[in-house]
Order: sequence, then structure tokens, then C-alpha cells
Amino acid sequence: MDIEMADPRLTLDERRRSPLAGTYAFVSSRHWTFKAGSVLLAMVLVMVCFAQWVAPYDPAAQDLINRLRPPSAEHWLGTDHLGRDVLSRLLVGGQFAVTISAITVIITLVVGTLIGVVAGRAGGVLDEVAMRVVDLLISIPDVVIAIFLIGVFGPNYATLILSLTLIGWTPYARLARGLTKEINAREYIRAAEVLGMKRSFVILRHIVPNTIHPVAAVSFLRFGHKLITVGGLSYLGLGVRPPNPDWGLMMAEAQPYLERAPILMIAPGAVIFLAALGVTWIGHGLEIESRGARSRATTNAEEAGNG
Amino acid sequence: MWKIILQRVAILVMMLFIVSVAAFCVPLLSDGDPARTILLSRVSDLDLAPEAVEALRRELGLDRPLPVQYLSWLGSALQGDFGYSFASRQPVAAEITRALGVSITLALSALGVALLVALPLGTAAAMRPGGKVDGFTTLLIQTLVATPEYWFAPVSVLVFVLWLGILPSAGWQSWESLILPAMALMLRPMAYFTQVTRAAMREVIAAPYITAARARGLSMNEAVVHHGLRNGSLPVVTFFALWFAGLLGGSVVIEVIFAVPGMGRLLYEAVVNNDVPVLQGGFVALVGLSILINTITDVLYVLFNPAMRGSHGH
Amino acid sequence: MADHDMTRENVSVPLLEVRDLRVSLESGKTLIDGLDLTIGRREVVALVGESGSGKSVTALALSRLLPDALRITSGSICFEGQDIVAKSDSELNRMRGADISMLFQQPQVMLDPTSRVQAQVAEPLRKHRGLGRRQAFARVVDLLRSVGIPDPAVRARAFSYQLSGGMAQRVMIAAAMAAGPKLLIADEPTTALDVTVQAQILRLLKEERERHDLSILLITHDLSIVSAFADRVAVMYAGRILEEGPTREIMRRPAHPYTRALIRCSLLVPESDGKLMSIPGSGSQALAIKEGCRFAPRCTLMREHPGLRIACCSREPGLEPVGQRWKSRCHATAEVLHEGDVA
Repeated sequence: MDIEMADPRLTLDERRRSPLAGTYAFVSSRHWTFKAGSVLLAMVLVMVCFAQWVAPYDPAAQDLINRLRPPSAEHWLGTDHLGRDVLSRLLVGGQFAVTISAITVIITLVVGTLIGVVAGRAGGVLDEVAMRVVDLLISIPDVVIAIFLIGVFGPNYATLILSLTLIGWTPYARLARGLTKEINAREYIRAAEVLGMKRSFVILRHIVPNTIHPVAAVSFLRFGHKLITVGGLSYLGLGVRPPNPDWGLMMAEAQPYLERAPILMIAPGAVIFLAALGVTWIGHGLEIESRGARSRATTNAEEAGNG
Repeated sequence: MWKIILQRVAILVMMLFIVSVAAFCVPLLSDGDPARTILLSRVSDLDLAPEAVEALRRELGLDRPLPVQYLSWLGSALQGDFGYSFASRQPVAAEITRALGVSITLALSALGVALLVALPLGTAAAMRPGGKVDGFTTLLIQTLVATPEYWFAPVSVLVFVLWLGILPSAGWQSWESLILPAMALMLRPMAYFTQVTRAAMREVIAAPYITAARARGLSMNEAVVHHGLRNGSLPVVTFFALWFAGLLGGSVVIEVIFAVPGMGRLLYEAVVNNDVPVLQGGFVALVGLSILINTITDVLYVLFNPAMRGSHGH
Repeated sequence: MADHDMTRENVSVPLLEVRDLRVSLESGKTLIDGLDLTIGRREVVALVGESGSGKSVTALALSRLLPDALRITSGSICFEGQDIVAKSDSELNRMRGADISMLFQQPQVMLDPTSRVQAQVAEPLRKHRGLGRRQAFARVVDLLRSVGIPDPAVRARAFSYQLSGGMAQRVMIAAAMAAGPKLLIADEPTTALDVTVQAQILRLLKEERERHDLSILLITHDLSIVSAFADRVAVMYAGRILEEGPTREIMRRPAHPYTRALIRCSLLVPESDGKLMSIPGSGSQALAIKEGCRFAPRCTLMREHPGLRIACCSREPGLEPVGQRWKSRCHATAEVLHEGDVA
């Protein structure tokens, strides 16, 4: 594993040379789960981004004569209860969930990491109370918050994103705070402080860059989790409104035809599963790497300490 | 030690206060007028007399200042009175109690089975890191984490109900109707329990007291059984409690799919019926229970595990 | 080896005889490099050296408790004529705690925090002496009393966090002695304890040795406890023994410049320039030295005698006899001895 891991500076240089070759070099130097996950995620993203052009049919076009058709040459995944092409709907149907999940992950990442770093740097009562609040919030299911807010304000982007971010920042805060404490204890931070550098400078220059790797790992894992949660809310009819296609909604609509046309249920679920598996693998790959890098850092520190 | 417990309780009270304020205020932010909604649900007539609405507003005390309204709401909420459901006209508290019982049964059975699988699996994976069992476990964890439960559930219905016909499809009549929802619900906790068990046992196996026990002549397996499991199970037990708290309300989709009359479905129906008192009550009950169980677990951990807080803790 | 036969003549059947022991990391880095060590019956041998010299690894290797990342790559460890390196897991389990027991540096973390003292002290009795639960627990109280624990019946039901460091080490000694072992490997048993408690624990170990015909391998970096306690000393540096011999001779007049420097450091007497003695440099890089004496880069003797430089830096000296059961690994043993008494 260690041998596979390339020097980060090298990969940066290669990325500068050509974006595509750089990305390839970056991905191919990672853990195998990272590679497999990247392939899965790339497939889903391409599908979501280019769906409008790739989709063989208009995803909303009904054809009531050809309802619930099994897979065939014209309709690769068959048709649904209104005769709409399942493949086309599947291609377009990821946009809502992927967008919401991505926005949520970005907001929670920024907010959570900042809170964690500040708490970790501040220490004392503030740190203790903040982490206790994180401990309490982290176990609240975000579905409950989402249902409460949607029940009051109705389903829309803002409500959904708000309800997923209210709790969603906590894992980042916990992680970033732990990392900050760890980094705080390292010699060069203490050195920077002794040299009289500003607190904000220390945070930006030394702590934030060191947290990126593990925080990225968590982000991918959380992204998969959000994707599933958003799909579940759509399944309940609390997401997008029909007739816009959406994976969760497609599954809800497929429920009455479970026995007649199981593919209507299986296909969208499989896409959510594959997308979630992809990001989980990426996250896992990154996690293994950051763990390896961290244990190496401590070993180096110990060796230096022995001298 | 008492200082820590006091601090935990103080933060709990603060959080409960915030939750109650949120539960009370958030519905006021929406443009719906509760008096109108209630009248609509009673008379289902769109031409409401403005005087009738105004009268009901006074009757409900909605014309009073907000803090007064909040305090009177909080006062009755503390006595277990969350008002009456718009939809069923039943007391909200009674509905919640009934639904909570169902959700607790479901959550405990799902988590119990998950734990039964996760403990041996996680321990086995921890015993030989990088081995076959470990590799399989990692892959299983990733698969389970990525599986949407609302995908697994219909597929399991397809297999066990429609094709094999050995289980009832939905409802809440017999213990058999518990099997499919519990199966769908346990996937994710099972994955996380296994992960936590594995991590805890890895740490325990490398612990100095295991080396010391082996130096007294215990085999690796004996040392792990006599000295490892108890230490390793502490984080798992904590995790179990947290998941239990979360699963009480987190099983909405599964409860709706299988028509299980639990908390999740109660909340879902409240959304569909725009039933604000049930939403408020359910929200306070679930979030409150979650942070309450969380605090209790934490305090118990402090009380029963002073060793962890000794000079050599962590 | 030339010195091999000589050892045989002096000690008829040593209790423990380590020959050419090598321990390596999985990555190939060698931590113990050809260690030879002999412990006679009822003998107390002190293994001294700086941190990182491989003392603790030696302790774990001798009882085959090395972590997974470390391997014994060659050599033999003969205990009463049987090679421990060749033993199976179940044979090792029968040996540990019964024939060879161990003490560790931080007694409190070596006790399971969730298990009572009596359960842990009783383990060797139940495992090796076949006692039942009740018999074993009754015996535990006697054992705790014999290691000087007040209120042994109460302490037997205590948990580790309720014990002071010295108390915990007494419990560890009771557990180690429970099944009557012949060899006790004590890895820095007093390092983490207060000075007054240190003396008590050492006195207890001495008593145990008299009472049970015990051999002890005392691993320490603290030379001040060596002369009062050990019959023989082995000085370890970068995975090798540099000097080995009778405590009295070595502590008075060491034959190796490293031993000499160590003793002078521990005496805290000012040198001729008025400063306290210190050994320049660090031993942590010495493992990488492939040619010549591993101590050469830090050796003041070599600096004072430039004529030695070629020999010291190109050829590693062997462990050569200096006197009766006394060996040193230095090209200039004569020059070192010539410097006279150390203090």
C-alpha cells in the first residue's frame, strides 16, 4: 500500500501538466478502493451531467398503450406505469438527489470544519461545551429534522438543505477538532506560536491544510449517506414533485407494480446503491491513506523524540 | 466526576430548551394560521367566517404575546400534554406513546440481531487484520452502508412475500410482520456495529494488559475472552444506545413501506395531513429522547467506568 | 566462537542460554543483532542500555511475546536445555507464567481495568496449577500478603485504578510468582515508580529470589540499582551486547568505553572540565552502522587515540574474554582498563 502511494508533490506537478493525465496519475496512484469508487462515481456523474443529451427518450413522454413493458431493444429497461422510458428517467433522475447531497456536503464541510478547528484551538470550556453539543446532535436522525421542517414549510430545496445541514456538520466538527488537537501538539505549531504568529495565520497556514485529507475522506462517506437520505425523502413524496423524474420517486411509483414489473423498483435502487458504494469506496480509500500518513507522521515524531 | 455529570445535565437542559423553542416557534414561521387550519379540519368549508377564526384564535390564546404562548405550551408539554391531533382528534401524547412502543420493539429487534452478527464478525476481523475474514468484513460493511433500506425492503417483499409467500407483506399483527422491517432496518447499524467492534477489538488486542495476561500463560484467545471482550464491548454498548435513540425516529421510510404504526409513520402522516400538534409533539419526543438517551449513556459511562477516567485513561 | 567453550566450563547447566538471537522488523530492519546471554540458576543478571538499544524487545523475545511486526529471524533461546524459539504456541502457553514470568514498566496499564485483582493473580494458579476458582482465590490472598500488600483480602477485590503504582507492581509480582517460575524477566519494573517505592519493590524482588530460588533478568537503564542488585551485568547498545561480566568488577573498572561512559554519567560527578559527563550523539542511528564498531561515532576513547580509528571504523570487534566470565567488545580493552577505576 505504501509503495503505491505517490509523493503528493509529484501528483500535483503532474496535474499541472495536463488536467486529464494529471487526474489519471492522481487516481491510479491511490488505494484500489479509491480507484474502483472513482470509476463508479465518474459513471454516475457523467450520467447525471449529460443525461439530457444521452437519454434516448423524453423522460416525461407518456405512452399509455405501452405501459409496464419489459426490457426490449427500444426500451432497454422497459417502460413504467405511464409508458415512460425507464432508462431515460433513470439517467435524468439523479440530478435532484446529487445536487442536494453535494450542496449539503459542501456547506456542512465548511461549517463543521471551522467549528471544529476553532473549538480545538480554543480549548477550555468552549471546546468542552461545543463537543458535548456535537455528541448530543450527532445521534439525532436527520430524517426527523427533515420531516418536521418539510411538514411545516413544505418540500423545497431550501428546507431540504437546511434540514440536512442542521445536524450534518457534526461529524466534521468532531473530526476537525480531533485533528486540530493532534496537530496543535506537534512541534512546528508550537514553534510558530513561540515565533509570535497570529492565531488565524496558524490556523490557515498549518492546521487547515493538514485536515484536508481526512476531512475529504469523511465528505465522500457523508455524500453517500446524504444521497440515500434524500432518496428516502423522495420515496416518501417529500422531495421533488412529479412528473420530474427522481430515483426515490421512481421507486415509490414502482411500488404498486412490484410483482408485475420488478425492474421499475430494482433499477433506480441499484443506481442509488452503486453511486453510494462508489463514494463509500473513495472515502474508504482516502481514509486508509490518511491513517497511513498519520501513523507515519507519529512514527517520525517518535524517532525524532528518541534522539 | 460529579462536575462532569452536572455539566452533562446542564447541557442537556439547555439543548432541550432549544429543541422546545424550535418545536414551538418553527410552525409560527410558516404562513399557515393554526386557527384557520383547525377550523378547516373541523368544518372542511373554504368560506370560513372571519369572526369564527378570530374567536378560535382567542379561545386558543393565539392573541397573547409569543413568550406567554410559549410558556403555556411548554407548561402543558412538560405535563405530557401536546394538544390534540388535527387529524384524529386524539390526544397527541396518547398517539405518541402508542407509536413509541411499536418503534421501540422494532428498533430493539433490528439492533439486537445486528449486534449478534456484528460482535463475532468484528472480533474475527480484528483477530487477523488484513486476512480473509477482515477483507470480507470490510467489503460487507461498505456494501451494507451503501444499500438504501427502501431498496432492500421492496426487494425482500418481492422475494419473501410475493415469490416465496412465507412472510406477511405489511401491517403489525404478529411477530412475523416484524421480520422484514427489522431486516431492512438492521443493515446499516450492523455495518457500523461491525466497524466499531473491529476497531475496539483491534485496540484491545494491542493493549498492554493483554500482553501481561499472555505472559501469565493465557493463550491469545483466552486473553481476549477474559480481558478483551469486556473492554472492547464498552464502545459498542455506547454505540448501541446511540443507534437505538436514532432508530426510534429514523425508520420513517421502512415504517411507511411496511405500514408499521410507529413513530416514523406517525410523523409521516402528520406531514401529509398538515397535523402541526402531532409534528410538534413527535419532534420534541424523538429529538428529546435522542439527546436524553445520549446523556444517560454518557453519564452511565462515567459512573460505571471510573477506570477510564483514572491516571492511565485513553 | 572461542568464548563458547569457556562459558560451558564455568557454568554447568545455565538456566537460560541465548545464542546469536536476531530480531527484525517485518520491513527488514534489525533490532537485536546476534545477542548472546547466559543466566545461571539463582543468578540476577542486569541488562542495561539507553532507550532504543533493544532491551525491551529482548524481554519480549525471550518469552516469545513480540508484536506481530517483529520476528525472531535466527538464533536460539535455550531454557533448561529446550529451545524456546522452536516451541509451539501451546507449549509456550504452558511455559509462560509457569517457568518464565514477566514484570513490566507501567504496572497499572498492565492490569485489565475491568477485571478484579484476584481474577488476574489467580490466572497462573488456575492455568498451571490446576486450582479451582475458590482455591485459587484463597491462595491469591496469601500471595498478596507475601508481597507486602496490606488488607490483602480487600485488595484482592480491587480494580487496577484503585491501586497506586507501587501497589499495582506488587500485584504484578504476586501474579508473576503465583505458579513458582524459575526465571523472572523484569522490564524496567521500577522506572515508573517513586524513588522510595522503587527501593521497596527491589527489596521485595530480592526476597522473592531468596524464597523461591529464582533467577532474574533485570532490564533497566538505571545503573544505580544495578550494583546493589545484580550478580552480573550485560551492557546493550544498538541491539548488541558490548560488555558482559560480574557486577562488582564492571562497576568498578569497566572494560568497554561505553560502559565507562554510562557509569560516569550515572555517578553525576563533574569531569575534569567541571561539567557533568554526557555521551555525545545518540544511539538511535547506530543500528544502521554496517562496518566497524557501532559505538565508534560516539566513542571518546577512539578520539583520544587516533591510531585506533582505522580498526574501529572498519572492523567490528568480537566479544572477547577480559577475565573470569567477563567479556568485552572493544579493540582497545587494554587501554580502557588502563584508565583505572571509574570513580
